[in-house]
Amino acid sequence: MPSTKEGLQRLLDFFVYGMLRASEMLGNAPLFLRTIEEEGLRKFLTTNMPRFQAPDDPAEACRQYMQAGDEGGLFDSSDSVFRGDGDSVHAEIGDKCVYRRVCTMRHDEGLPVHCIRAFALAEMLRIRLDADFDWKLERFGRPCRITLTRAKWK
Amino acid sequence: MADDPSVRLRAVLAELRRVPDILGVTIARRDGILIAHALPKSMDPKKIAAMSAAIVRTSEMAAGEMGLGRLRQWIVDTNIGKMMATGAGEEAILVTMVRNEANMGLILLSVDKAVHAISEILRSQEVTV
Amino acid sequence: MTDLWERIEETIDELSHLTDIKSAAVVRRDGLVVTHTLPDGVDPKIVAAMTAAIVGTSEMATIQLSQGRFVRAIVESEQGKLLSLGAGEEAFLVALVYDDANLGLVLMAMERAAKQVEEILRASAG
Repeated sequence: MPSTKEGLQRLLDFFVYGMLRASEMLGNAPLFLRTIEEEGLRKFLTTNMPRFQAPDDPAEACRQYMQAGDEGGLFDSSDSVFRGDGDSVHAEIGDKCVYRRVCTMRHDEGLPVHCIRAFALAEMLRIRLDADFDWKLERFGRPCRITLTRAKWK
Repeated sequence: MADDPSVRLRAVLAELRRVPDILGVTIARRDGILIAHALPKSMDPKKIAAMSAAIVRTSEMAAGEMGLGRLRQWIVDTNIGKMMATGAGEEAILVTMVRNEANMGLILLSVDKAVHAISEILRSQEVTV
Repeated sequence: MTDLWERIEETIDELSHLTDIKSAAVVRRDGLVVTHTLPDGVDPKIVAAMTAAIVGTSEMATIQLSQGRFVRAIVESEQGKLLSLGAGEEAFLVALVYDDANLGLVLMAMERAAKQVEEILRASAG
């Protein structure tokens, strides 16, 4: 295990970077990333957050999920804000997002930024609320703006 | 040396390339590493190797999951031609690109022959890539 | 919007009635199943994810090799074939057919169904 927090962050950065590049090169980034997230998140929720019950309101669900993650020492979402209206969630994600460095690498290379925070929240809503939300990174920056909109499929 | 597996593989590829309407051929390891190819310069052999290996593996798993039995091959139809991939023994796959006008009967026979030859060559030797 | 889903379901039900077609599905590009007539014992989630992977990578291969426009992907196995083609930007159509199927007829029916699905999706987005 890396012996410093910086070491661990660096490990995460390059692993995630590789994952993003590989899924693009093989031709179906949305599928691969969603599947990776779904499998990982399912395991994570079962193991680390078995008592996490998401409320019906998606924005509140996102807020509580992030908070539970904070309490577990995984995230620092103190600079993130979630708003919503039952069918959509608008969030501002601040500097402390754990993926910020990877996204900055991608952005600086001119590559599309696949917001892992956004699709992780979408998967969380799918797993916990059985609800289908499409995610969109409206703006990469400080803060990032993402929206999750209830999908039309069902 | 006639025995050298990479020479023998190139011979198989060359023979396949002589079949009318075959545009290019690639032999890849099942984990996506390129083994040999006879492709025009416009095509990137490494990318073909990686993508085809991914597709073949997923196709095999899909066929298994759906009770379709052993994979024979994967084919992509495009408006210009076809891309086909099939297993060539335990360790490799053969990827063939053909024009749409090709005589598919002849193509399939030639591919089948090549696949057997490749499988033999790889089985009898360890090929260093 | 159940209307949308019901109409897609109807299209797939109709397609599955063709003698040569064992079952069919509409799958989102990111691998989630929209509707299907797969038999029990076959996990629709796995089928959807695998076919999405096959189609996505097939399309990428087509682009990388400048082989024109992706039309369809066919997985040929000993006991049948798996066919997939696009149904608009967001989804594609998948069918499992018998090994001795009349592919010409099947593909025609699939193309019709794919167009219908594409129109249904386009109409709902507008």
